[in-house]
Amino acid sequence: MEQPRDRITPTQLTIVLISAILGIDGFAMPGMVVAAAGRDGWLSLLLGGGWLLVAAMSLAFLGGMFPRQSPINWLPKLMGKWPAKLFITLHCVFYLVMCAWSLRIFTDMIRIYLLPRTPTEVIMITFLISVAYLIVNGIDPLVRVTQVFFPFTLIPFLLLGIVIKGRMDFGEILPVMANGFLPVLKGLPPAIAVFVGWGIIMYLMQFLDKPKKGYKAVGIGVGFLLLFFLWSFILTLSHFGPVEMKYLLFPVIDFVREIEIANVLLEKLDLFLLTFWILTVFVTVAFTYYIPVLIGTQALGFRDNEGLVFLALPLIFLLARLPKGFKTTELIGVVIGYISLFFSLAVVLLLLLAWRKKRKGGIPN
Amino acid sequence: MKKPKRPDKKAVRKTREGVLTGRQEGDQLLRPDLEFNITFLKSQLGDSPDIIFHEFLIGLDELTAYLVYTDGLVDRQIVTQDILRPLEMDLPILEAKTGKKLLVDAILARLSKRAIQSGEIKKEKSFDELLGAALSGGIVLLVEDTDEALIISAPGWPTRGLEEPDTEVLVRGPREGLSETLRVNTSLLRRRIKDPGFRIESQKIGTRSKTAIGICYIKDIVNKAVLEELKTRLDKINIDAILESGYIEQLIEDSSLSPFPQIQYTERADKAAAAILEGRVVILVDTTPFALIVPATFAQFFQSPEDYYERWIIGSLTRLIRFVASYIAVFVPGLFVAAVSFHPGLIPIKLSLAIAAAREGVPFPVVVESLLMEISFEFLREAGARLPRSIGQTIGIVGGLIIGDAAVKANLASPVMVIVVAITAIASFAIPSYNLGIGFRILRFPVIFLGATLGLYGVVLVFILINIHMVTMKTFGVNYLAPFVPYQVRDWKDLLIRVSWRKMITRPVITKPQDSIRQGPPKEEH
Repeated sequence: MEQPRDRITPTQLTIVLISAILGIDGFAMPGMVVAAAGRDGWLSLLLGGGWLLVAAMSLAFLGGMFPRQSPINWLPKLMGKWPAKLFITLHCVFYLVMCAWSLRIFTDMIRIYLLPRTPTEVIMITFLISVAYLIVNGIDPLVRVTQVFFPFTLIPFLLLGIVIKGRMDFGEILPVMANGFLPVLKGLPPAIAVFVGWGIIMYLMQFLDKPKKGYKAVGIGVGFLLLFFLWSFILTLSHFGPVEMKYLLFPVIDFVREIEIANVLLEKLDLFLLTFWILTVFVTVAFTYYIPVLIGTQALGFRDNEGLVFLALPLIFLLARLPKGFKTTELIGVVIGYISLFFSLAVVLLLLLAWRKKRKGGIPN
Repeated sequence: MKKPKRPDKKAVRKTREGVLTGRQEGDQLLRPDLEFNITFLKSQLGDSPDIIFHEFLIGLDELTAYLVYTDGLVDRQIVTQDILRPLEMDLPILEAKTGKKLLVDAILARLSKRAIQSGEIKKEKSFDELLGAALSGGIVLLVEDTDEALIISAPGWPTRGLEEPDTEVLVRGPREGLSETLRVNTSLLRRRIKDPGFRIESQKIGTRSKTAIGICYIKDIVNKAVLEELKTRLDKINIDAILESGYIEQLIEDSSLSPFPQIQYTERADKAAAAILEGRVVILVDTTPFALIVPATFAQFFQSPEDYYERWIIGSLTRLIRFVASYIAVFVPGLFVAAVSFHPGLIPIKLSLAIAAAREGVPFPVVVESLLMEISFEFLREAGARLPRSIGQTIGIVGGLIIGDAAVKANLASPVMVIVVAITAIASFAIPSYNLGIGFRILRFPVIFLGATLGLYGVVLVFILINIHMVTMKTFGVNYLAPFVPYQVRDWKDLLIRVSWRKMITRPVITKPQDSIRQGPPKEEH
């Protein structure tokens, strides 16, 4: 198979990871984690995030063992031809679903906060076409657009970081494990689900110009996200307390809404935050859209991905319209989170497998 | 009445091919027959009054000779003093003194070595060359019985003095700008760069205009790939005439559909020299004072030479202001429309109420109001730019009164909208590059349109689309958005801010110069 032409640097990989993962669940996460784990949610986050850090770095390590090779190439060497094909097909479908799901959540949010009377279809179509316009040009512009948006992605982080006003009680996270270890375990699935999208590492590693440095870049990216999620969780929890937070759909947005610093120029800071959030979601949708297209293009040996991009567009649109209401979307989110968890287990197993094979006599390249 | 026949497509293609191949009558050579040579030249040049065929006799032998040149393009002084006088007067005297008669070849050699003090001289055999020379400030000397002619280059036409360019005014900086004559411009550059590696490659473009251009670069700094790419693109040009460097710009740019300029132009010699020193290539075009700079990235259009002449704090501040201005110029009207029509909550309540109160009497939706004002402002700008200066003032007064005060009083627009339009207009003029400013003004309209239909989301969508467009764009192999993305941190010292000259050790890396060091360590005192 032809080697990928484009190259990305480890720094770019870190930035892509942060932007792509931050996208969807970040605002809703504290509420979901608190609902499952109560005050101990930060422990769940720490545990789940820590586990994903291990899994993500293993995945990067695995990819680094096969420099400039697509998973379509190297996966069969580890698990045999047909299981690998099945795995990749499932992965492809997974990302299509995730793309549609992200798009759906995004349009629902836009409808709630920004455009209550505009048909969601209009938002979906305009957004998808913009994404398609970007990804027909391949990975290189995609990564660079992510770099352009990255400073804007950081703005929400800074907003959360510098402005603390109103009721803040960091004692809310205490006592630790008052109800034993069980709540922490219960909080794990939503805590892991928030990192969904980390699996794109698997397909991005082939573009890395220094494959051996990939795991470091991934470590920095996921580590940063872990800190960010912890920070936003603790902030919102200290502000709202565990009881109130259970009933909030997007605690982070509600938290920002109560920041009054910008009263001079802008009334509602949450709208401002949402504006920047659109850029983050754009990156998430773009990558989850791009990965299945990439898999398809490489598996079928197409020269460019134009055809598949336009084939996937109506598919994603239809998938995104399927869920009837918010409950369904939420349920899908939970399922996606579980799949992400299983995938992380599979990855670590794969890495162990690869190591064993290597020790036994190397993997034929 | 019969409709005029549309030109047949096939015929158009045929003529295009004709242009492509040029006038192919075969390159005719001179014959040792003066009569024939002159008739041929006359048949080619026709009977124009400005083309002079001057017949005269050389030496005691009275050889017939002709001077062919274009009146007004050559220095008459050279014609009379350096050519006619020695051949008509001095030579017979010399021959009479020595008693020796010189042959034609010897005469020509003598002429070129002794008599003519200025200009370059060469021998030519082909008619095409002779015609080209005679029409571009050369004097052609044809003598009996030889199949060679002498071309004496003696350009002398009326030129404009060196003036400060109107389009790029600086508070601090040299006052001399480029002018319409290629040779003057090369001298201006040469005076600034006395490096032996500074090269000017000459080329002629345009099958009919035969416009001379100069490709200027420093041999050991320039990025060779860019230079080669530029040359191949220039070689591909096959047009009848180049009247301004804008022709060349549009013929060699990467993406002609983009609202963003990809080649920078300048009228300032210092700016062109700075670009050359940064490892870029400058194209000088005869008959226009505008030089082209390639490759030009997005950030470059925000730079003014003054950023480098003033102290770095001042330079950095003006830089930052320009970037802020660019965002305002593109997004503020659209954001305003979006906020008023979709998200009044975005604006502080008091202001929101004030805006609503001011819009009370205005019968249009805010988008119509803003388009009305923006378009009338564009009218005003265009009218002001084209009118003679004395009438231009009238336009200023009329526009200021009508678009400002009267429109508000007549309830056509609200005062806030006038302010928004005014801020946007000022901001778009704060960008030092006129062409980029216009690009931004074009983009403002889609932002208004989408802001009116999709609110804040629409505005962000335009932002995303603009960014995708810029990220995918390349200019001569250089990323258009570099060094913003991909992050090239070494170039950030001269991007949003401009650090002190002491810290500007390296040239911009985005152009990939061969020699990237601009400053060595400070010299030790001895």
